[in-house]
Amino acid sequence: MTSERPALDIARLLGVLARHEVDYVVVGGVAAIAYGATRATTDVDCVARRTRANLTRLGAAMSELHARLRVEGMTDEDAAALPASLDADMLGRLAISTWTTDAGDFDVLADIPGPGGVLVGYDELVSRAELQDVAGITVRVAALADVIASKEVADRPKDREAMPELRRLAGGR
Amino acid sequence: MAGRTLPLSSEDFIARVQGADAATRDDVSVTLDGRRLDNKQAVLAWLREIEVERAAGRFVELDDV
Repeated sequence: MTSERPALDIARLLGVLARHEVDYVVVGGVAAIAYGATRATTDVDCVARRTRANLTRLGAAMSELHARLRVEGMTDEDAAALPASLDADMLGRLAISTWTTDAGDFDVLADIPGPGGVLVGYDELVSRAELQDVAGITVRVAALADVIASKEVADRPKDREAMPELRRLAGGR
Repeated sequence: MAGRTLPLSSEDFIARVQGADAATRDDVSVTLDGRRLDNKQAVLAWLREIEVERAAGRFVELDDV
């Protein structure tokens, strides 16, 4: 994106998802923050339950937040004009989707890589998830071990930077 | 699902998230078949493809729960 993106308002973003009863697990940097990480970035990444009903609810929540695809080189206005319909069929065709919303950046993942690169989906993540209160909403947060495994496999510069602190936090649990 | 409640208060969690580094720009949308939607042309081509698939009655397979 080449234009200014809205600042993250996590309480609003998660509040809209809660109101639409979307099933998801928070992963990535925001999950790391819930475990005490300080070196994290703040786009909200989540793994959503991949059922038609849930992705329909997710699409409705994203529509309320005026979600538009986040594409390098496109302005926010151009992205908003794309003929993208936020429905279960479209969301279900994406392994990773990166969005800008009126409440900040929001990424939806079909799964995350676990140890050895094996993909871990919603059902497995939620079975190990822990709970974080956010403005009265209970949010499911991926287990720290799952957060660490996904960052080890992703191995981007920001992941490598975050890893020592995450390993230290895991050691203290 | 009944996980443990993490110790960070809602107020502290929100403050830490709002105060963390801004999101980086190295994330990109990827389709289930592995195509990277990393520019406008790729996105438009993918959206056109979806329309063709839908017109032919082909929809993504999802659990109907």
